[in-house]
Amino acid sequence: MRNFGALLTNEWIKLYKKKSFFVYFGIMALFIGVCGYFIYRYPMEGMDSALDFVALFGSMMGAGQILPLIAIIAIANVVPSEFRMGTIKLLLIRAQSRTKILGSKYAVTLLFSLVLIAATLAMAFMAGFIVFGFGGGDAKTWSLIGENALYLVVYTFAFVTLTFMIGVLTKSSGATVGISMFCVMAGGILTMLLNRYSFIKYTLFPNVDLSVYQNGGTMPHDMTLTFSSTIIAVYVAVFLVASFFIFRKRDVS
Amino acid sequence: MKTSKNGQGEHNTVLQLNGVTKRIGSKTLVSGLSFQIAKGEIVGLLGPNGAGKTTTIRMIVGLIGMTEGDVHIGGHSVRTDFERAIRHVGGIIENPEFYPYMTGMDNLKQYARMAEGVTEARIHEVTKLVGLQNALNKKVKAYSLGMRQRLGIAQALLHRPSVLILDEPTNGLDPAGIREMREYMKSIAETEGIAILVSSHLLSEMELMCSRVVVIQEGKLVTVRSIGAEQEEDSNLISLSLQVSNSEQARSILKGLKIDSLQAIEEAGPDRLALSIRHEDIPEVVAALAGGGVGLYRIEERKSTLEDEFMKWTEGNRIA
Repeated sequence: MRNFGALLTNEWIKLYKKKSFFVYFGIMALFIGVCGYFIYRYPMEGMDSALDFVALFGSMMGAGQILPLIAIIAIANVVPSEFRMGTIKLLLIRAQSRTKILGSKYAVTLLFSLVLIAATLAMAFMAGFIVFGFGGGDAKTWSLIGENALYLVVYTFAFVTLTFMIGVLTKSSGATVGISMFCVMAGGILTMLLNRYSFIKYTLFPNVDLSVYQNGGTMPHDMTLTFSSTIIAVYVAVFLVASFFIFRKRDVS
Repeated sequence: MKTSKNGQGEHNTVLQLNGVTKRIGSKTLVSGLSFQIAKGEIVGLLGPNGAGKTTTIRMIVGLIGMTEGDVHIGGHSVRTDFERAIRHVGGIIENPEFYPYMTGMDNLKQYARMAEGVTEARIHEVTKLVGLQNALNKKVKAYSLGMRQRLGIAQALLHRPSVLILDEPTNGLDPAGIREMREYMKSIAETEGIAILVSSHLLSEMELMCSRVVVIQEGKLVTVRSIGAEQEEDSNLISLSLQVSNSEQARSILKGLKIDSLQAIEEAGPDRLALSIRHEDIPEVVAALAGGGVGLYRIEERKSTLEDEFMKWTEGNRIA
């Protein structure tokens, strides 16, 4: 386990030492800042405390519109850059199995996504306090914030895993970002267009945003929260099995 | 020229290839390759372009999978016990590539964390050995190729390997860099007893560095030679090249001589004769030629270079 911790440290340093690391957090700060400014200038009905602000902008409707894309761009490079720079050759001739090495890389993509989400929520709290001051909100708002954050985490993790797999398969960061972005965007449109066919419910895209079931929301074709969670889990598992299988077998030349 | 004993004992063998084969589709890149390397030996892997040198090296370090056969490093199989086998290996595969946005120190620390028992002191020891201690806090993107090559050696030595595997380590280095690299290799092999397997297409380089060469062609083993063995075999015969005024006449005079060791007389270009003879018999030849009225302009010893031998082994296949 100490072993894996060292690999994880390595991967985190590789992300952290890049200048772009802070850009991702900067973009989220800008997003929250702009949202805060607009709420301040044009107050919304039903939003009168810092917690309300966090509940909205920490949800799929708020940060969910941009954060998963930022996460995809940030982590798309984790595997392809080793191939592009040629460092993969020195990385794989260590006394570590390929499974562990790829495992540490996957773990760091999840870790980064979590940190990005946590930082965004923290910034939303700060913006909320600046606009509305302390106080207000109740226990229900707190649990709403938690629930929304959870949906955001699930959504982001699903697409981050997809991106990770594409990175392993293509070894090209450009292709990885392109294909993953396309999936995020086209997924929604495809779901809308093919809504009347029931097979669509077995694809990842209509299932991945669990917040649609909030407040008794329903989805066509008898989809439920449990059904969607299962579909997400199955897809994530398939992505991971494919990634590890390919990475372990691949000839590095 | 270094001497090397060919019949090393089993306990000295650090790297052993047994019938290593790589097939992709119907194409066989490497076919049934077997050889072994003992402690402290520097062995060169030679072959024309596309002979399978790089494929072989990458199979040894596990970057490319083997179709058949196995490689044992320090007694452990690369196929079934990869982590324990690769622990004994330090490698530079082509130009060493590092994370350019990190410093040399940060790069070395990456590899230190991946091995067991590499302390900060060891990192400093190794960087001092390669003379990089003043550049450690610079980012690698500011390094020259020579400096990156040294950092490459540093990362390869970090975990005290028993065998170094270098794929074209002198690629892109200037003559001074190549020489420096060679000196490093030799001193490491001598002082630390590390075995070195090095592939290169610079034959003169290999000749200066290696104690033994393994020659492969089209993925098959052609020959394994100790450098200098050729000369040792018939050490009493010397190959000479004579420049004379009339090669026809000279030849007939030499043919008439009764010297046992004199052999292989042939014309080598206009006014030139090539022959092999024992050291003690040379004056007799000179006297005979002078007595026969043949002008003798030059007597040169012909030393067979690795390049000549290589051409023989690979039947004149062009070297890259």
